[in-house]
Amino acid sequence: MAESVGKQVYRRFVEEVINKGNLDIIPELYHPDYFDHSAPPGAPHGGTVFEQVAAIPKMFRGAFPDVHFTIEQMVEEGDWISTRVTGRAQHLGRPFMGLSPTGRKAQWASYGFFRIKDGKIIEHVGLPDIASLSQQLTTPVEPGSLDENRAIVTRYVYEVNMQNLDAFDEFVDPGFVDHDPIPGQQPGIPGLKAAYQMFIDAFPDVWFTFEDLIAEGDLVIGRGVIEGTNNGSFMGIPPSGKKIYWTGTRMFRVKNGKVTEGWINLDMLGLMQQMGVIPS
Amino acid sequence: MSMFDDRRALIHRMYDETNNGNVEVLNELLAPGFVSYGGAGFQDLHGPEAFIQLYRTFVVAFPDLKFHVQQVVVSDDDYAAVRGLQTGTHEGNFLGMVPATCKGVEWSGTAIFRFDANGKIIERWQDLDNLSLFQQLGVIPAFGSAGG
Repeated sequence: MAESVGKQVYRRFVEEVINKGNLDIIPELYHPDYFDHSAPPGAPHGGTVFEQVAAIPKMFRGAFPDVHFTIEQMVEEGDWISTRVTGRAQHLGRPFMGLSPTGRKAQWASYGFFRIKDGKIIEHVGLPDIASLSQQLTTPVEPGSLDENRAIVTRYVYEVNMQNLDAFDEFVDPGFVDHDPIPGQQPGIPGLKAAYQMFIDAFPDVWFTFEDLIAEGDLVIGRGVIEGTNNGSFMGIPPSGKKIYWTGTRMFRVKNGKVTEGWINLDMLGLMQQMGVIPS
Repeated sequence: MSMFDDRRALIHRMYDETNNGNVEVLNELLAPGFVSYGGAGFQDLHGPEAFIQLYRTFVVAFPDLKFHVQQVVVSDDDYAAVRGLQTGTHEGNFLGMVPATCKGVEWSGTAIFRFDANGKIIERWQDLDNLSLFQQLGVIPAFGSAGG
């Protein structure tokens, strides 16, 4: 039996908007007179209805780049649909409700009621279990655990994004060894700071996001996507002014709460091509 | 064997076999719905056969292609990662763009794999030292201090 229009609309919201970040289809799914009785704290009041709808998946996907909702149940009566979903995510991106990224994984339930009019969602009241989510993100980690190692690597990237490189002194070992240094990089923490400063100077809004963190023993591998506007010169190449996206995968060794070694593979070719100095 | 051992063994077997020319092993180790994501200048590839074709493109250019596994990291969820060094002698046209130079080249790379419920690889991501590879092939000059 084919799903009803209302269930299809909600399914597209979960599978396309939440799980894939496809915000462009929100006007197809939401009624211009939409009202949310349960907007989360911090949700914007200004802007269009569609901007207000988009703010919530934006907030989740910003904090949890791999957020994935699974629809467990949908029950329909009249023009209302009740839904039960499970969210799964890793806190690798931006702060969530004031909490700096933790690297923790979480799973939580969310319950909602949606009223459908003219094939679109016009009203919502619901209750995501934010308390459980917050608790999972803030449970203390065991020293030396994979959770602690992931938390340290997550903090490392976040401090780079905040351009607070002096924080390296707290969680990078003074004997840090970079196995893939940039040409001329000095050893230890000063060299590491200088390497990131070079990127910050070339891309003043540079933002690193790990989409996966893979940990075993004392190793953590992060698969990263990086974006920044090329407003400064980079390795002697004048600024292009372009917004540039590239990828990088970094492996870290973490011992006794400190990052002791690093390896990296970076899409320097893609970076140079987008800067316009190498033909595609 | 534990899940960790199974996945580690699968990854080592994949590279041992492909290093010895048995590319067809990928039909067994990759799930039918396998996706290899682009990045590092490559397109998204869907299905084992598309990935095998890409691998063969590299073997045409580098007939003695080998991936030397340096580190395998198996996560406590569905992921594993491999870091290693790829070596080969450039004896054939590479990607239809770079005629043979007969140079020996090497580049490092990291691949990330996600396993499905049947223990097969369903997704793959990669980053590799592509700038260095093209510089070694002489296609791209060194930039500023970014040589090597």
